[in-house]
Amino acid sequence: MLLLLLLVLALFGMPLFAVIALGAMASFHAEGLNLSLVAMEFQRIGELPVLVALPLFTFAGVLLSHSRTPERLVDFTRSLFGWMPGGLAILGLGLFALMTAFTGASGITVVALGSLMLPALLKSGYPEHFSLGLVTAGSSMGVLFAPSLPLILYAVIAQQVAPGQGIRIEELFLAGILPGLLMLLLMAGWAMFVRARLPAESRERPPMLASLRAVAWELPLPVVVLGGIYGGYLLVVEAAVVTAAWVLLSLVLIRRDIAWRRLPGIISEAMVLVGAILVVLGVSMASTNVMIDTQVPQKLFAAVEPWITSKWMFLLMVNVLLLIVGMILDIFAALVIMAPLILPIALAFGVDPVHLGIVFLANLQIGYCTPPVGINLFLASHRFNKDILVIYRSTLPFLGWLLVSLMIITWWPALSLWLPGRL
Amino acid sequence: MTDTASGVLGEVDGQPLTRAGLWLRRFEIGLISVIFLAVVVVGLVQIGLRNFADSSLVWADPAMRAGVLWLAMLASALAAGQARHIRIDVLSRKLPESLRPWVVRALYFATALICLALTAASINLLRLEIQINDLAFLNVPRWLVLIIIPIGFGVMGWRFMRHALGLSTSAETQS
Repeated sequence: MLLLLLLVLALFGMPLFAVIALGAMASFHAEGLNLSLVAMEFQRIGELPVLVALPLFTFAGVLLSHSRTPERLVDFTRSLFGWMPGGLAILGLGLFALMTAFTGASGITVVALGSLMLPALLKSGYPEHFSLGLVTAGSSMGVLFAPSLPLILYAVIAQQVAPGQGIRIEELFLAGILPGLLMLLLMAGWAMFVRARLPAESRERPPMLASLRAVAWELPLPVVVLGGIYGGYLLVVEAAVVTAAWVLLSLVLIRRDIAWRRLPGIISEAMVLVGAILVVLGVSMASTNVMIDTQVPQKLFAAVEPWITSKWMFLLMVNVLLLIVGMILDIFAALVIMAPLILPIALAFGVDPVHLGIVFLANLQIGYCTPPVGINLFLASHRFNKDILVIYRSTLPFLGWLLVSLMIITWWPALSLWLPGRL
Repeated sequence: MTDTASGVLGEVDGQPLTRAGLWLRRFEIGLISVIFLAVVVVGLVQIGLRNFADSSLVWADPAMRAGVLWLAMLASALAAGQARHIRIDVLSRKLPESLRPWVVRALYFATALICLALTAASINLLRLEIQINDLAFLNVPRWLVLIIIPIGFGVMGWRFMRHALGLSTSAETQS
């Protein structure tokens, strides 16, 4: 009954934190517990060390998207790889992945980078449908690469829900690399195939040296951050501090892309994004707590166990469920709501929590561009002024490749687990 | 469909009508900026000390975490003013035009009440913390860090109530 009420409230657009808080408070009350326990759980968003990384990375992403960096990067890749068949499309995919990995929000990528890539693709002779599809689906790339916020958030939630598993963020960062590359590879292969059937790309390219100099400040950043994290020199939070300080210095002080007086507005914009995530996370700490107390995961497991005969069947169900959830819910909200429910059941079926995390995020990422309601589709339609049906049709082939990679990621755990195993 | 994705398109730019409202917004944005920059600076100093001087500030990590809690609450209060919280909005668009504003207002009213309940719950927590009187970092007591929670939820409740009563000038409620 309570669940139904919450669902109706959520679907009619009540802010999610309020829906979850209502659920948590009602359950605490029903269990005869004091409501200040909800606040006690909530305040833990000020106690989890790794959450410090969230505002810092988000700020860096928002500042980058407001600067002229995306423009410079597109110029640079055109001058460097414009000669390769399908080079522009492939490098575009790489840029999308990088941008989404750093901002954690593929919506920002569609808007900031997509609107630059689209004209560049069209100008060098790619068909319109292909270009629209590439930009829309490609913007979801990168969720699986460090330091993506969803990866961090999954690790935080998994540590809360299954403290005995010893899940580490570094493991998830490593686990995401090969599956993420697989997605990129399949989409890049498709781009090369399409490109090969077209007349040669236009040779006109920006001069190499000038465009290299233009990105001199941005280019070392992923190397420093990723090298620092994967190489073990920097903790995740330290990498976040370095990233935020780096973009602040290079874009505001040195390049003066962004005027000082715009800084407070941009900081607030980034913090509104983070605040929205953290408040949902905070109240869901309380709801997760009461769910575990009242053994909801065990009951769910008992309910589904007779129907599900193997771990593979379970993962298939998870795929279907999460694709649907990923369509309607923001990736962070989906994580916060679904992970505490699914993770304990997955553990009971013998699924590795790190592998589950990668499957989880791959699903939610694809949900971004799944018709009819994936958020990237609407953003692209709005931004590029195209009918939503045109966007659907353009995105479909790419969606197909993403689903193929999802199958491989789901049924081949070693792809995710091999690298962290070398740790 | 969420507001985070569409909300990033513009900077924080809602224009409250009253002079007091404008100053309040400036104060909030200023405070958020100062805390954020402080977190960056403390983080940098900490990295520097750890890597080059082989020492560290004991208070830096808890202070940065407290900063994140304050940022989250202040930014959420700001987001409430513009009705920019994460939400799923699939059904309300299907409602008839004449009915929709009322449903939206009713939901804001309910949200305001939930914020009020959260304020009350966190005031209780605060009372407890004042009795215990633990330190968060340096000489800063824990209750002083946590005080932002009831303040944040209180302001959020107040702002959602304004949306519900149609007093808000934010574009979201009018559209």
